[in-house]
Amino acid sequence: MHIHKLKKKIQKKKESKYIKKKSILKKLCLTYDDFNKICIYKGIYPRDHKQIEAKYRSKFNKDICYTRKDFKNIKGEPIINTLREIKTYYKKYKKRKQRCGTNKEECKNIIKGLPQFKLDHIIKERHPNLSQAVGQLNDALTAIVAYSLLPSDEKIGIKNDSIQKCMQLKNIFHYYVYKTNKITKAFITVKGYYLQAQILQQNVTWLIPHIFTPYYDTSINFKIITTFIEYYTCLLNYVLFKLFKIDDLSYPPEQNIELKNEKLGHIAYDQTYFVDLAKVANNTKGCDSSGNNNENNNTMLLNAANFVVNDEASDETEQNLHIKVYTKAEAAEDIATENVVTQGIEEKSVKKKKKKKKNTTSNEKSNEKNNDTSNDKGNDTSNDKSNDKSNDKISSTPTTVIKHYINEDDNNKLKNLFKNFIFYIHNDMPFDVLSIIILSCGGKIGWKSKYSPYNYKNKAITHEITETEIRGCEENFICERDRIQPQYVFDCLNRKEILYCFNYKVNKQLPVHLSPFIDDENYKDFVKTEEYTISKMLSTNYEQRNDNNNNNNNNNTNKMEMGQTDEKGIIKTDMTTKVQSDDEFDDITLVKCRNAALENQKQIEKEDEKDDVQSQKNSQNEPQTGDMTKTDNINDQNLKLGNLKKQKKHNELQRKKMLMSKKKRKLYNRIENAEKRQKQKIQKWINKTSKQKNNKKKKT
Amino acid sequence: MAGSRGAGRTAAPSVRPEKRRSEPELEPEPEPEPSLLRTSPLSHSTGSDSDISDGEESVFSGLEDSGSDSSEDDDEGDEEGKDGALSDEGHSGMEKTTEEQVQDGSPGLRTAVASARTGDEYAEDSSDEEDIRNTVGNVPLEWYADFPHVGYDLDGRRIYKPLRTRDELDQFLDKMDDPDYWRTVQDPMTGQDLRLTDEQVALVRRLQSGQFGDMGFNPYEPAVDFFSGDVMIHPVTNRPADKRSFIPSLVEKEKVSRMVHAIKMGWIQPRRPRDPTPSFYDLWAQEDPNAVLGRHKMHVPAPKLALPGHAESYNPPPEYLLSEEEHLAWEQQEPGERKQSFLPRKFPSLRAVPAYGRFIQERFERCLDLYLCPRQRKMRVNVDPEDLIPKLPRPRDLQPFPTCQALVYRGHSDLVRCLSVSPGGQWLVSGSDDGSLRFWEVATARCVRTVPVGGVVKSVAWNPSPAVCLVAAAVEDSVLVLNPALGDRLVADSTDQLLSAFVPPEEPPLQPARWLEASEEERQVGLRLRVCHGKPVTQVTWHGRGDYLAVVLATQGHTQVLIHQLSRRRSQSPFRRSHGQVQRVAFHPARPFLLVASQRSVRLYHLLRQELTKKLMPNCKWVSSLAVHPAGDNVICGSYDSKLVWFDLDLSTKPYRMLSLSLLSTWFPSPRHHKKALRAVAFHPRYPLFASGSDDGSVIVCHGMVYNDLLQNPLLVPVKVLKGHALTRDLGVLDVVFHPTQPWVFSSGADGTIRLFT
Repeated sequence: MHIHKLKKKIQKKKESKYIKKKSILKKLCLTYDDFNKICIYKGIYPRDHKQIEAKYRSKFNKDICYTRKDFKNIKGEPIINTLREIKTYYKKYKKRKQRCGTNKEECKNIIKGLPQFKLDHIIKERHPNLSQAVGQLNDALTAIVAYSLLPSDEKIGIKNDSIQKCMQLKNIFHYYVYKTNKITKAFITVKGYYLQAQILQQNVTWLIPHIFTPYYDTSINFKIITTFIEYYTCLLNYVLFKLFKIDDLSYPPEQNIELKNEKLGHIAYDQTYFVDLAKVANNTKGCDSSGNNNENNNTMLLNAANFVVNDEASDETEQNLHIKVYTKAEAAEDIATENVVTQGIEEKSVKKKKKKKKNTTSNEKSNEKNNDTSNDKGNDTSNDKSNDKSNDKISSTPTTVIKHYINEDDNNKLKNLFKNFIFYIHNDMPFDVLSIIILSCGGKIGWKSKYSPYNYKNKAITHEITETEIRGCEENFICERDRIQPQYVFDCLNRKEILYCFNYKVNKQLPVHLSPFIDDENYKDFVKTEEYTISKMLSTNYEQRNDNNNNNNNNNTNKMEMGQTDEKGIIKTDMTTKVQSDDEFDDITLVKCRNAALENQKQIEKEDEKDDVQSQKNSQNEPQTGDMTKTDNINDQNLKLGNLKKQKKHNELQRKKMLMSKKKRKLYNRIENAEKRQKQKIQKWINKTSKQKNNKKKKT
Repeated sequence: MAGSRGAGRTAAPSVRPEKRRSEPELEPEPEPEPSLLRTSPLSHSTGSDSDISDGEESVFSGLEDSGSDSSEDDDEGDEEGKDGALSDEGHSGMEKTTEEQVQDGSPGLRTAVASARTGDEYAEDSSDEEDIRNTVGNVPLEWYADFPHVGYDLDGRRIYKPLRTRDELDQFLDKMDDPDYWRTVQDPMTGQDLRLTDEQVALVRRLQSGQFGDMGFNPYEPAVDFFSGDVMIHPVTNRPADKRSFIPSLVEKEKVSRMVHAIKMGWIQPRRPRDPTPSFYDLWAQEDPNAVLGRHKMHVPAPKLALPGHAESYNPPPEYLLSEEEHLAWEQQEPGERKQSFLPRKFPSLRAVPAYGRFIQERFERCLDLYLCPRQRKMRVNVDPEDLIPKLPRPRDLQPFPTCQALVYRGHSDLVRCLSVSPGGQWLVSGSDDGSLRFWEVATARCVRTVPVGGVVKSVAWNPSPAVCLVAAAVEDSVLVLNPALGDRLVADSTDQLLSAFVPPEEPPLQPARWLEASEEERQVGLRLRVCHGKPVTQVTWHGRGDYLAVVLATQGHTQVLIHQLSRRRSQSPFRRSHGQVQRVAFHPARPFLLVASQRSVRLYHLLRQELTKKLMPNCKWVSSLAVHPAGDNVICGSYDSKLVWFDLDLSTKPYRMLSLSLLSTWFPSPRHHKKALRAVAFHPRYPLFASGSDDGSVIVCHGMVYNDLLQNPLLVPVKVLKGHALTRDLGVLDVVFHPTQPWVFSSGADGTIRLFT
């Protein structure tokens, strides 16, 4: 080949790492919208111009460019063909419609034949692992939840069927999350409720907005959102299918129509409510009677028991059976603790109940009517066979190649957090979010509905979630309940412990609601270090304060403990003596805060300015120590010495800096300045808090 | 009606009586025939032929619209039109009437009039003849704009325009006076005013509103179908049906059979009803644990959205709430610029929390980001600042070096520009702006002698040769050579002898400088010689042996550097060309080299071979000072941008090391704060030390070890920052000199003192 041609070829090869959007469109005969669709499905994003070598950059001037690999990836995509078919189909449809005129039936027939594409291969390609797919669910969930609240409007591109799908998926996902006790964190924000669940060791965070009246901003192109939603729904469907399979549930779960009509969302999928439905009337009676009978008994036991009073006996028998089945089937999961076993059994029982319903609906009805255990047993025997069969089936089919390790230990604490509690959620509270959290943490809920397992007047209810004072208390036991504000539930979950209800009572000034996400990697990545330190400080600070309040409530019994926990040497003695007065305590915490901040700074900076810190500590100690007069001179001397040392150190540093190269010096100065700015910011923040404290003092 | 018009008519001439001088005679004539009124001026102006238009009241008279007449005409026309419609030829009748209407607006009104007169309306009617009075035909009337006439009548006589075209004022007056002004129209063909009658106005109104011109026409008459809707006994056409309408179509049969065949063969399959419920399967059934994350290594997964911090809480800590100023600032920002997209607020209860306004917007923006934003992996550089600081040996190990101020030599009243130490190290000479040279004893700080020289001493240099006792000082445009007569008497005497031994040659050579013997008075002070130049001298320096003297002059051109030979009292200018302003010169201590520092470069000349050996590039803005290492292989340069540049002559012409000696620059790295200039640099003749004095009043002493081993690079360590001089007039240290034997450094400052650091 001629040398010039060869050179050109090499040149072309070099240039061809990137490709313009225009040329892709041209090569694939795609319209702009179709290309966008494919990009959204395939997760392809344009490249930065800076990545291109400067030599070739001018070629891509002002045009969006993709890599050639992306182009290759798109080129072989079967979706493109389908998109083209759809295009031709629409053309045909248009023609036919003109010809048919008024014959709408025929037109509809044509529409039915519209080609549809599948996205499963793309999902598999984008997320080769399940855990990876779960890790990327954040966007999908938030978008789906948001979309499900939109009104349908085909004109601007909000599709009705997509909304239905979203609604369904949202509910199923919520159902899954609370059924398997996956919720780990929750946070009420100005934007909505953030929920975090740990699924397959991946943190999935999504946002449920406050109820909003939908609006159409002209700058929003809903068609794009709809395209995203198409992909997200597909992804979530597959992920949920797999997750349900791992937990031995069937997908999609059945939805109870009556509950659905009540707009109960995720609860409509819950089998326990499903089964209990018919018994509700019975149940309440039973509850009342049992409550009367067992008044002398431990109420806690009652709470635990009364939920499925009718099923208790049957459950026992079932359990036995299941253990047998379990040993037979020798399921793949390794379950160490008893809790896990019971959980599995619960799930299985749920499954079984469903089967029961399928198989012997008539029996079920009779069963429900008569509370005889013998009947149940009979049923069980009949069901046993079917169960065995199903288990055999499961064992015979090749199970998953990879065993997904389900981290149960961490969840155990959360799972049983509200175990003995029954919450009554008033109508004006966000039922969805609260019910998810409470159910996920093992609690039980009641609400104002005929489908609610607990009446308002049920004695078993321990907490009421409300924000308004209810005036006339007719009966004593209602008054005795803890009326709490919804923040209580969130704070308990985030703290992973039951807090004292006292601070959260209705009409009380609530303690501040803090973000539980501070420790998350995701949060750290996005926030500057100084802000991170501040918020970290803040959280520890308030926790300590809360602790202290609690302790005060306990009549200062564990002063010693506090002293131990708060040991940092300097203020230890002060702490124990001055705990009584709140204001002083605040000061102490403030100082502690500062110290913590400085410590933190030290960690970040890794500077060994020990004497510097010491001198600062000294200066901080000055207002603290009451015996200023005695140590005045010593302090002064110390200060002088410190200053001298500082000076010396500074000189030394300067001397060394003289020999630095220009580049290094610049970098060093930059780092130095950044640190200085951080310090200033933290100082500013501390000043702000102290100012607020002072203001408060003045007011009092 | 007619009366009112008549009044209008009569009013009109009264407005312009002069113009119509000829009219009054003829006025009575047209009175019986009001329609002629308007043609009258025309006819009269043409002259005699008024009879024609008058007499013939047929076609032409009809042209003039006459209200009373036309109303009758119209009525008649209408009646006839109705008759026509009623009769069988109603269609044509209608046409006629419409034709009439069309012509009504134009001067063609006369047809109707004519028809009324004659009785037979169609006899005279010819729509082709538009205007018979004016025979110019269908030509634009603008063509006649410059002529007094508008056309010709039937007889070929000119039809003149009205004598005076009315101006705006007339029009306005008409408008005010004439109640019929609104219905007055100008006839473009004749230039006459036409006054529409009531009927004509009504007609115009009707046409304007889109109705039929004929009032009597009923557009909603019952339609008569051509074909009746009833089924008759007899067909419309009686053609017998074709045979093909009884026989099945062959073509269709073929088509059907083809389809049947295709169905049989399975080519055509019925459309399956689509399953509306989507089916899902275990997508990750065969999961590969080692699957590549992402498609290829270039793929960057989308970053997750940031999680909310405390500030976003509905019940945040009070520190996060914005103050009023911050709140205002937040509101003034564009939504895109805001640091936080939301406003931190504290709500008393959960119910009070409103919906977040930008929720959908944010979701949409996220979607856009996902597929439109280029992604990039940002490497966060985690540099430990400690690592950047170079490891230096401890200064304690590098002793001896001057560490503290020992003596202050006071006496000068102005800034001390220059210093020099005697080769023995016992005496010190300083030159100041107060116009004096002072000789000090180093050990006691006693001023031994003061020599007033009558000018600013720019530079002073003690002869390095121990055998002579001479000091050269640059004062204004001359170099003074003094014998201070300090120290050994013998040496001083021998020096004097040496100077007096000079025998001037017979023919004095041409020299760039004049050598003058000192007078008797001057000799007593110590002055021996005076070398006068035409230009001010900025620097003077001795060669190592003490015979040669290099001088820098503040001039342009090649005579900036002169070299004097003391023993023969000769001067020469070594350079033929100049390379910028010369700042400093220095003799090489061992070899016949002369270093010349210009503003941006340092040149090294070989004096014997008379050629340029090296050109050093210090990379600084303005070289201020120059010093050569006593071994001769290393050179340092100070610059006004506070840099000290170390050259290793063996290594390269590029700086071996650059020290940034400004103390301020490390504290204020931004370029706003100007850096303090370095004024002087000096090498210690024995110890591995060098020092620099700068405008911030400090002397920085550095350890500069040069090894004999060529492979080992010199070791430079700043060891001490000496401070003592006060800043005056923004100047600090002006000169720095080392003691020849001890590790001591002298510095002279702008505060008029000399300080010794030991």
